[in-house]
Amino acid sequence: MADTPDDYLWDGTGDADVVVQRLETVLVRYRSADPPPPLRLPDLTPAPAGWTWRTVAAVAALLLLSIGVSWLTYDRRPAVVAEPWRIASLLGSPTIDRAPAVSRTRLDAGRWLETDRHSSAILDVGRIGRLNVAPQTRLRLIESSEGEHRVALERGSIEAQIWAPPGRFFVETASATAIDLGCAYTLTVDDAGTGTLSVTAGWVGLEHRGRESFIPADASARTYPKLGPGVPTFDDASAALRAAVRALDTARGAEAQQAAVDVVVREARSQDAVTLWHLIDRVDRSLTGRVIDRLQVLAPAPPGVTRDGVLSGNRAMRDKWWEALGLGSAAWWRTWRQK
Amino acid sequence: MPHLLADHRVARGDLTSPADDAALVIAARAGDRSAFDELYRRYVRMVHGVLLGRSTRDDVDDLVQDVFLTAWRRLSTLREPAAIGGWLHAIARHALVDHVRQHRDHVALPDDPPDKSGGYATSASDGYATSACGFPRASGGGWRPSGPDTDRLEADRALAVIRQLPEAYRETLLLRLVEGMNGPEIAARTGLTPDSVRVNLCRGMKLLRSRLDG
Repeated sequence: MADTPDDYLWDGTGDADVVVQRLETVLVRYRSADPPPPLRLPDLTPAPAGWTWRTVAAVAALLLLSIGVSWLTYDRRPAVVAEPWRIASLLGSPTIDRAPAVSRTRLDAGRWLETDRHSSAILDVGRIGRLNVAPQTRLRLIESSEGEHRVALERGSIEAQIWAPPGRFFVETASATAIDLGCAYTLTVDDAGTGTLSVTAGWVGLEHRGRESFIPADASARTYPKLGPGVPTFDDASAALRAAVRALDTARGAEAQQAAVDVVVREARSQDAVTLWHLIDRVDRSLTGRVIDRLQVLAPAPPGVTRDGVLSGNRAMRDKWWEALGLGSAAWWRTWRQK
Repeated sequence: MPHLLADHRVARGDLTSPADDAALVIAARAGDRSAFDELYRRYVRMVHGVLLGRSTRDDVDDLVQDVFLTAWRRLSTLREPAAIGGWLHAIARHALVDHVRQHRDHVALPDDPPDKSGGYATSASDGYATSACGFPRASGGGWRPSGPDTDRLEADRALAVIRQLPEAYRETLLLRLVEGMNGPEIAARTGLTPDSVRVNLCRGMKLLRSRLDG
């Protein structure tokens, strides 16, 4: 099989590959130390035994005071189950609902955060991540609960780093919803509502009315009002391929798409299989066969996946082919849907 | 030549199961530092390999500490204890993104630039030419076993080329070629499927060969 490494590359058995072996030999200088250096964790042990009665009394007094304050200020709202969003740091004068925001200000659901051309902010996304809000950005927190954080980006640019499991962080825009699949990414929305997503690490899913795209690290995709997400391209793909894919994002009909499909088929490298896979159901049906054939050359379909099956829209076959691309399980990246 | 991977595997211990990891996570959550130390020992190579993808060797050790410190502080947010590998993998990637952003203007490679006397050969006549990014490039595509200077030259160049590969290939190759992990171990430690690791290893190695020969 074309994408199966030999035994030596896979597990070190079998006949040694001289290039791999040479690389192992010279690169060992960069290997982590064995044994590794000691882990320096902060001392989280309980209070030391040598406390004086004065310390104990002071702590007890503080505890009583805090209990008293809590009792007096308790407003009988439901308990907050999720860590709230807060401004971790800011530059200039961002506002929350037009009022000046300061560091540690809490951003509640329904509130708008806005930055002008001279201001920016870094938000703590509960306990699950961080959001850098660029100048000239306007966003609204829709929901912040333990299982889901959802924000609307009206315009501007955000840089998200999320360390929660997939499907916990959503960014809604006029043209698509970005679903975090364990990643870091930048999302920009212009005044017309067109979005540009660039993924730095992990994955992001884009969805709009059933149309979905999956963008891996080092790749980007556009989103378009009324159309939804476009097709991802790797940032190091040829400029011609990227331009052709952008044209295909909005072109309709075989005549309008023909030239761009020619370019994509000609320019695609094996790593651009992810782009071709997305194009299968984005191009006119009369052109789908060409996309499938090129994908077959670059990343042969696994057993059980046929050209006719994929051409006829067999979702299971398409998913199986996806899994053969080595980009993770289709079941995994669709998990967010079932949440 | 003996198989380096097999030697390394023996030296560093066999692969453990996610269930073992889950028990350690649960113990660590309860404040058992030795359990977390064991998790550190199990995952430090994976984290180190991921971080090596875009940071200098000097920075990597500090970043590794940062990653595990972050994990220690946020351990209560990990819902599936058995998923600790994928979780640490994600934290390491985020740490790297942060690091790269903070050092955007910092040219980091190679880690140990050779001095002038033993430095990079720039003449095509000795088998190497300097690439556009300042690293030696093999002319003729061969790997020439020789002395320590050549080894270091090749290592620097190989690392520089690997660092230019797409993330999935870059990480997998660093874990395989630098950290000495085998395919099943990479899958278990990163949370990726074995099939994904297989494909990434195969395609990444093809790409690496072509770029080293280019």
